[in-house]
Amino acid sequence: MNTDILFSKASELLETTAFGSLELGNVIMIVVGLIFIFLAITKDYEPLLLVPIGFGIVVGNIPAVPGMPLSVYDDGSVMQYLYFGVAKGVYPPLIFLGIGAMTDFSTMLSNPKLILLGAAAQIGVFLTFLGALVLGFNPNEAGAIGIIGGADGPTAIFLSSKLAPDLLGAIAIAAYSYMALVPVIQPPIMKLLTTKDERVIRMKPSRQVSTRERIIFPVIAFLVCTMLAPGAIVLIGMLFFGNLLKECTVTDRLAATARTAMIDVVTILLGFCVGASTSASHFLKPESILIFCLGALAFAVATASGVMFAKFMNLFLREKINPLIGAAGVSAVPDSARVVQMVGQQNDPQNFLLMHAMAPNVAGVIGSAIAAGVLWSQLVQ
Amino acid sequence: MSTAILLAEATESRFAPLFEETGIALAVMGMVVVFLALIVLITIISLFPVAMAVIEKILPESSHHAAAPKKTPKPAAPVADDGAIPGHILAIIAAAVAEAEPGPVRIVRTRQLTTSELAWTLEGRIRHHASHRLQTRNR
Repeated sequence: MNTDILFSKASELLETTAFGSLELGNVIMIVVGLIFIFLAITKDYEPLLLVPIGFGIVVGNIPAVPGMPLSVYDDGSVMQYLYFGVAKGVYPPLIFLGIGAMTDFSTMLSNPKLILLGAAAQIGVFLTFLGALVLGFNPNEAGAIGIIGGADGPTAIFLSSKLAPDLLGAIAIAAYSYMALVPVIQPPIMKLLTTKDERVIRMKPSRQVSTRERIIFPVIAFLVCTMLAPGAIVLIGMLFFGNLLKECTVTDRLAATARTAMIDVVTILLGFCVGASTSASHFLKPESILIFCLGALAFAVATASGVMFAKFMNLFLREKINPLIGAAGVSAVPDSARVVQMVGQQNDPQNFLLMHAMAPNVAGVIGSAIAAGVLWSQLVQ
Repeated sequence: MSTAILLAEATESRFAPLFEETGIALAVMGMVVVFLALIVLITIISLFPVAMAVIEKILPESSHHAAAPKKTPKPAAPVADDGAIPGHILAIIAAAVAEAEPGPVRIVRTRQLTTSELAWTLEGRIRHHASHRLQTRNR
């Protein structure tokens, strides 16, 4: 009799622990989260993103006890309140504010033709959108998947929260994973599409940009971009507002907060919540694998488009540009510009392409936000 | 024959979404908008130097904006040279100061340091003393 009571009590105790409802999918996802943390710490792959996301994945895959609201999907749970910023697209514009406050558009202003490379890289977004349609995703889902090619995590999260909330976790993880893998994905494509002679092209130093130009630019750029693509108001507006704070010389305190404490807080919340939303039951689906494949395709096509467009521009330019900088048209700031510098220096150690690559890089941020605005305005029901 | 027809129908249905309003037409329109917005931006930015020159004539840059970094300093007056420092060294000092200081600066005087003031000598002395690992006495 006593043995039976003990056995039933032990059974009840097991049910109140997470072990009782732990499934293989949860274990797999916990391992994935730990791999993210491992890569961030040992390989330095985007640690500011992968550590919060990785830990969030681990947290999100601890099975909830029945009756207790714990996960981001449980009504009234603390995690759900934190996840609100992701689900409703609140965090990405705040990230854009911080990005604007830390972005120097001087190189872009001094060599404006390089902006075209930021536009060319968006070909990856729209080709992947078409690929996703062919694979059976509906237009809204295809739009959210395509924006992975913009290589801009906040933009991808913002658009998928608006167009395909069910795919948000997979899209966010894919976008951030590929951003972390920029140094691995881009160099082979860049080398494949360029000759040695093209990779050693040296570019003239940029002209000095006045303070007044840097103050006027965010205001004019905001007006131009949002008049043509009003859907981009939220992202572009916050980006250029942040940049105006930085450049106007009278709001240094606000700019400093936006580019340090504020963006750090939002990055922590965003990364952690996105990770926590990838519980096995929501994430381990065949669509997630398709999204990862399409994301890789999007990223590769975007990189190739930028490089090929740079070569195309060289047909008409007297002063040739190094086609490697086309790869920086994807908006993974500043990683893709750093990759351009690295690949350039492998061929000519005295060639400094970093600042030239920053021009298409920041243009890519603008381009992907406009692309997201177009997709949102055309697809939202 | 029927398999071929079924395959053709399946292929057709798979590609059908491309030819709807939210297919290729949207992708092309999206690319056009992105390129158009950025080309307009390029045009405006290209006009910036001319526009700035015009604005500068009408509305000269105010003093607190001029205080921002990267302003090219005006040529300095001849430097008072107490220690017979060679001209090329003076040029290097001026370049280093211009790079290190955020605003425009004017070097008014340079002086050759005496032996006791030389930083390298001082640093060497500090290292030498630090290398003995002297034990602090417990009190």
